Amino acid sequence: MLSAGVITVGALVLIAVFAPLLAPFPGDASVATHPFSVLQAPTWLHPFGTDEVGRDILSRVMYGARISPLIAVAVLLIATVVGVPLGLVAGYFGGVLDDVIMRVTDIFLAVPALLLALALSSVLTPTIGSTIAAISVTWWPWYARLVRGEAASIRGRRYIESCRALGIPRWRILWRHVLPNATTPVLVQMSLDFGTVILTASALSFLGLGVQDPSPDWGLMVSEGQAYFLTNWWLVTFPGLAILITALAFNILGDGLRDRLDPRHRMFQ
Amino acid sequence: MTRYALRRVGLSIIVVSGVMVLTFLISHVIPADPAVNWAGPHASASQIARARVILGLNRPVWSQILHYFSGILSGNWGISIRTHRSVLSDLMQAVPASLELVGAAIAIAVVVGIPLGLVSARYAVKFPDHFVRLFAVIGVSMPAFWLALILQLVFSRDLHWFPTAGEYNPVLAYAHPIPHITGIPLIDGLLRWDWPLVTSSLQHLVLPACVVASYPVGVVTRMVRAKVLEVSEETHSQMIRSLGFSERALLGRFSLRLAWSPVVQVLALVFAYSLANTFLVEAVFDWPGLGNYAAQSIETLDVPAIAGVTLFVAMVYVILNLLVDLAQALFDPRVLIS
Amino acid sequence: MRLSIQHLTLRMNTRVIVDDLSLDVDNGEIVGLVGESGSGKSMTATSVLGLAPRLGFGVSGSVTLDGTELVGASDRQLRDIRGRRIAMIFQSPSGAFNPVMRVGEVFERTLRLHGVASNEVAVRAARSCEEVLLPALVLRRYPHQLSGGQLQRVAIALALALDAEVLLADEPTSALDVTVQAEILTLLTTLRDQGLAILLIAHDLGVVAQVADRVAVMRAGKLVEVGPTRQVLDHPRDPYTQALLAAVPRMATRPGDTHA
Repeated sequence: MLSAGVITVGALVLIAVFAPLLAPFPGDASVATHPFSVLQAPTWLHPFGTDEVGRDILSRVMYGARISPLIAVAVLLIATVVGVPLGLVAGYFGGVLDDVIMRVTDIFLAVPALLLALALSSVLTPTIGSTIAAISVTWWPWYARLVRGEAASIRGRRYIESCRALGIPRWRILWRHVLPNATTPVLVQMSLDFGTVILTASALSFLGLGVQDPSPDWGLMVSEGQAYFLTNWWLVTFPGLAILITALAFNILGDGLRDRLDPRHRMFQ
Repeated sequence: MTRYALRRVGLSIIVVSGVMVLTFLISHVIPADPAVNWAGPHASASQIARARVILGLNRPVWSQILHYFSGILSGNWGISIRTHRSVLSDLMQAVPASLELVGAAIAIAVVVGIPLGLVSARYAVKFPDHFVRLFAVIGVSMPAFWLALILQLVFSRDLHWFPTAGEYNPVLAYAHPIPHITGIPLIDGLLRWDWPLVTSSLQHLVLPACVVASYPVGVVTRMVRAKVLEVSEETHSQMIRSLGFSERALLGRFSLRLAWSPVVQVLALVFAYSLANTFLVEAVFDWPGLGNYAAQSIETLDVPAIAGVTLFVAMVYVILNLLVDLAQALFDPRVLIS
Repeated sequence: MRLSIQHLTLRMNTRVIVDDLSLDVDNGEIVGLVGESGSGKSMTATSVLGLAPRLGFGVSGSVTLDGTELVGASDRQLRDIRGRRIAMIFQSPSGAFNPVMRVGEVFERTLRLHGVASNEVAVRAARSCEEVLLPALVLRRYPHQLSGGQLQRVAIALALALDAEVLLADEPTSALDVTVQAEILTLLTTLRDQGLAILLIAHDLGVVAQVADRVAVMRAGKLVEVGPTRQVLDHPRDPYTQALLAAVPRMATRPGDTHA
């Protein structure tokens, strides 16, 4: 399973990076109209068909491969940069700090991620930046919680006590001893989250709250194709399939990584 | 037990208050100018100024928050910019349809997911396991809005197996009055033995429920498989084997017992996620629930409505989690100790 | 009625876990099987019940109960025998019970599985509890509500509920306090006197010395010495046995001596 995930993700990365070379109609990924080739069914010239302004869908799907993973990387980076330190501090120092931080994460986690991101996006001007910001805001609490749990359990271990007894300053204990142990679960969670963030981002653009036209974002393409879709099936099928396959690949990759890295999830024999 | 319950309830109240602060921030603080939003794109300067007074934006923030909180608690959740009605009454009207949809989806998830998870665990590492695991991970990776469109195209448009939109056939309303007890056509139909209504409701429910169920089914299947496998390597499972039970009996009657608790917990999470997912699905099927309301509110940037929906769903989620935590004590008596 | 293990060999890929082990346990005797962790003693018990292949082990040799061959027997035959003719108790009494089930429910289900009529189930369960000196109302408790000693007794009661002839005891006292240990060991001797055949697996020679009639010493999968307890303890022939004995600080040499 892991290898299938790696191969698919690798293929996606290649497509994203080399889109300008691979796409038959690179110009269609940005502003373009071709009135004479509007709404054409898939043919050899346009294997995925053309959309309502005549753009080649295959090219747009290829360029779209650049957007989703980029958003996911940015979101997860922000979520960990914000969430991990907060979680470390909460878990290690405990007490009131811990309570306060945990209540705050509780509050954020009380609202489903998609919903909170939606609400936030609706009051911001929709761009790729607002999408990243909105989703990051909803994502960091998970990481804070995760790291807090790890930090709290590590704090109780004997060797931390002996570190303190030796007079090692607390920040160094956090940095050298607690953080490295918390890294594995965070990495595992990141690989599992990648697919979900991609789904959330495409849901946002489907609703018009994410990247805007003429950007070849897959969610946006599905929503734009909705109006004509029942008589032009290819408008929606290919971009959506791209979302599915991308999320699937990252999820399988994440599962595989988790099986390898997390001793608590050993899959049997 | 009561101490545990009180503690959990107290925690829930704190969390809900926090969410109210969040929705306040979203509707009153973050937008560049809520008054402009409220007054509309063609408003004059004086109208905007008046909107500012109506919304209380000229008052200090703490006063605004207080006003907001007291409003929420007294049932004033604002007026929808789009429908010009009270947001709360809009929400109440839309809730039954969403309950029907998400309820059906969760039911499908449990009925399909648990047996699948068991099968997967029983035949671990062999073909049925791989097949089920692939199915489950596809469910979890599925973009709901896309699945909705595809299913609508294939099963409704092309095959004509199921209707395209709505909760039930509107023509029925002409034949006889539609019973209205809970607001959920399927249940109302069952309560009054109105079979045409029940059949029509079910037919209309199938496609949207299957779409919304894709994520929960994936989650439940994976969770059951993981838990059952984990538990069947523990000593007590070894003891059950040594007493002469077959592997199948072990998994289904003993290991599964330990899976209920995590499954119920995850269902609460999944319920809220599914409720949010309905935003993507209801518009496609013209389903008159919260999702459709939210989607339309988003389209028109109806901030009070969006904030209202967010708060509502969050409250539902918190209450659900509370119920699940309390029920945990029933499933797993060890919870009461910690 | 006896359990006879002949030339039992357990393999996992190329590693040999149990190497050509032969050991008999007669009814009315306690045979102690001693060895360090990893010596293969627990796996021996597991393979008697036919549970080794499930874990991926290759099994060769013979295990017979009253002449019935167990190695290679059908699943159905094995399931008939497990619980009813051969029973097992485990090292961790609290781990041996499903945490979300009342203890009595396991009793019920096991009795019914082996064909006991529903109206008899409660009676048999209560009777078994009496035999291990526990009040019948422990059956209504959850495992976390009972002490280690109580749980181990319940496990023994469960083993007896179906009148098993052979009891495999896999380190039954290792997780218990010393005083409770003594109680459980006394219970085992009582059962032995009633005719039960007991294979007592332990890493602690002292435990075995107190109650076993015969002692078998295992090292790295092989049986290095076997004989009547007094003989093995007083005149050990194998150097490994001698080393084991030397490592024990103070050893009980008569049944009834407490071992601190």
